Amino acid sequence: MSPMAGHVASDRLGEASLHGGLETLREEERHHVQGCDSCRRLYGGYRLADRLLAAPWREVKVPVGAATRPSRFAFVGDFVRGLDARSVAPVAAAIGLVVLIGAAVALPQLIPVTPVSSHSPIASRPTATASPSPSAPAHLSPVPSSSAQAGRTPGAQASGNGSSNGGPGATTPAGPTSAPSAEASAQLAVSKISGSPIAWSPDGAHLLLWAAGFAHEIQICDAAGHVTGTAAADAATWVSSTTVAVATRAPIGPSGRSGGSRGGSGGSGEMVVLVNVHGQVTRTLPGRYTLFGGVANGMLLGSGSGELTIEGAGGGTSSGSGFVLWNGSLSGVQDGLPIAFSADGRKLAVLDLSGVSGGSVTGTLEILSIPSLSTSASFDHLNLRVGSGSLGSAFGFDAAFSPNGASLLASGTLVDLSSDTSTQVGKGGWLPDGTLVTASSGGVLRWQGTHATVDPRLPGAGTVETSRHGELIYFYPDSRPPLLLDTDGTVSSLSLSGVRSIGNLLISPTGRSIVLAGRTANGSSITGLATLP
Amino acid sequence: MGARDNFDANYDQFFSDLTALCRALGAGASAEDIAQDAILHAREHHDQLRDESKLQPWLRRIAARRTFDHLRRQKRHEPPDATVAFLPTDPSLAIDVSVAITRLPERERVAVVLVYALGYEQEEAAAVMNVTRGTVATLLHRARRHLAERLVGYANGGNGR
Repeated sequence: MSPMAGHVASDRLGEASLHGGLETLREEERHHVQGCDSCRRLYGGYRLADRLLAAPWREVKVPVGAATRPSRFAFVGDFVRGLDARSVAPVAAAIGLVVLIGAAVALPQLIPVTPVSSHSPIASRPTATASPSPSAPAHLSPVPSSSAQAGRTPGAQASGNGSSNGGPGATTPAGPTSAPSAEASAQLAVSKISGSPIAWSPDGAHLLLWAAGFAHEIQICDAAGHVTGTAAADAATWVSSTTVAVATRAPIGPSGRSGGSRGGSGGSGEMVVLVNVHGQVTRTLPGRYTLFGGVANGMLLGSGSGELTIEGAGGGTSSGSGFVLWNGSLSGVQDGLPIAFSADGRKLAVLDLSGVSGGSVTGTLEILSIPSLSTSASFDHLNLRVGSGSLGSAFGFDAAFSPNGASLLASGTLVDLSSDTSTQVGKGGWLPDGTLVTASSGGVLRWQGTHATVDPRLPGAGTVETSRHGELIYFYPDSRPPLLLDTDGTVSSLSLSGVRSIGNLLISPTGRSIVLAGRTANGSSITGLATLP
Repeated sequence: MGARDNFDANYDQFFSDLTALCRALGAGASAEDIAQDAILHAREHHDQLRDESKLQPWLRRIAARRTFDHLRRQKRHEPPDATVAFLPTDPSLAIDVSVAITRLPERERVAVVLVYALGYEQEEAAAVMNVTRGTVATLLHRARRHLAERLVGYANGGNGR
């Protein structure tokens, strides 16, 4: 192999990002990238750009500083310094950037909502992803061997927001681009829908979405994609299979639609109403609430069985403002930020916040009993970082109790609530029998305690999505077809009509339907519904 | 069915489509007004449309042009409202990452918005922008490269989260 004279062309890195990773490069190119910080970083930029471009979009509030802040000249400068052959283009880009900033801040801000590992705020079911993180593409990081993993201290691995993670005790996974191995294949018709999916209802009969192109409005549609109702909303969550809690600052009429102009930036805060699947207001809850950190993420958390927590009841501070529980009546204000209900609605995981970064939060974990809100367990030594998990905007965090409530999976960290220990396992979900499944760069991992084995039927780096009923879908960031592991153990390769790649996917709790956001063959974005075989 | 009847019968559909377009292009609270004006204008000047099958692209082009006019006027006379934006609600991505979209050259940004945000086919985006499909493809290609270059620091430094 002859060494390369210069850097790998930008377009080649872009193609690699789009078409399956660095494995698709020629050997000498791949070798160069592995040893070249500039190329590796540019490849990371492409990965991040593709994440952005694959995302559903919506209009939300943004802190003024973020919208008007000049671009990060530092990173442009780093990029320039790190490149030789590309010196002209980045300098021009940097100069152009300076010119554009003035225009950019004056232009309307149109930014995609990034789909990441999805979980329903109601189902509290995070997904796993082994997609390379922007900061450390998996293709550039050797997959740890089983012996290396066995020697790793639980909890020592940095949480990577979806980066590949074999975790301690995991057996050696296959390569990141392993071909799916399915016993059967199924052709699924995809019905195109508009909007950005948020979450299935607990019974799987309805889907909550952001209305396409509209700010501050949600839609509810049935499993066939027919819109049954709409409502003005800054945040929304399923409280039960027939009730959605909606936070809005807009005056809201009986139909759920905004009754006039929005309330402006006054201090009145958000009101919370309950609407049925037709978008009709069935109840207005007392009080006004402050958006946590100025964004709706984490404001509402529903159990799916009738309970609802509302953050922002205590006036709103950067460290969390306190929450109230509604289960027919409102509780007093409690400290902390609720992140997950147990499946039976009897436990509530709450973070006592120590830090907020972007929308992810860090804090110590407490488990409260419902409805008394008394503390049943406290984990003062465990500083847990939890990001969001959602397709469009679930307004929820990436945390889920195991079916029996004995463990909590939070953004890749498994907390054993009985033994007071934590293990880095990667992102994943729970099966009804209590098996934890997570994604790794080598395929789906099945966990028994702190030991994991790779499921050879579900290979490669992908994203895990599980249903409450027990189905598992493993889908890939490229054009490989998703795999369905049915409850009878059958693995089927799913061919989705008109869909080239899947950015994200939510399986209904019953395992009968999926909603996906992805790309068509010509690169256009598509949101669609499909019925599983 | 006469041309005006066609407008009236499909008013809701046109209005919804155009409002979404205007919002995505940045019209904000004025989106509905612009969409309505565009429909009324098209209804009154329907005789200018030679091919009835091109009605929707024609409407979109009118609405887009009016949105850009609106934004130019707004830029001259009003301070920008930087507190409303299309933002990732996924906290794993910093706001700065998403804001990179807004710093694309305008034509690239518009192409990205039409295709990626609104899900238009490239041909549909080309019709709105009054350019060829190939031009749209080129703009999208450039936009992606520019984004990648601007996100290098985030991908490397962990801000991409």
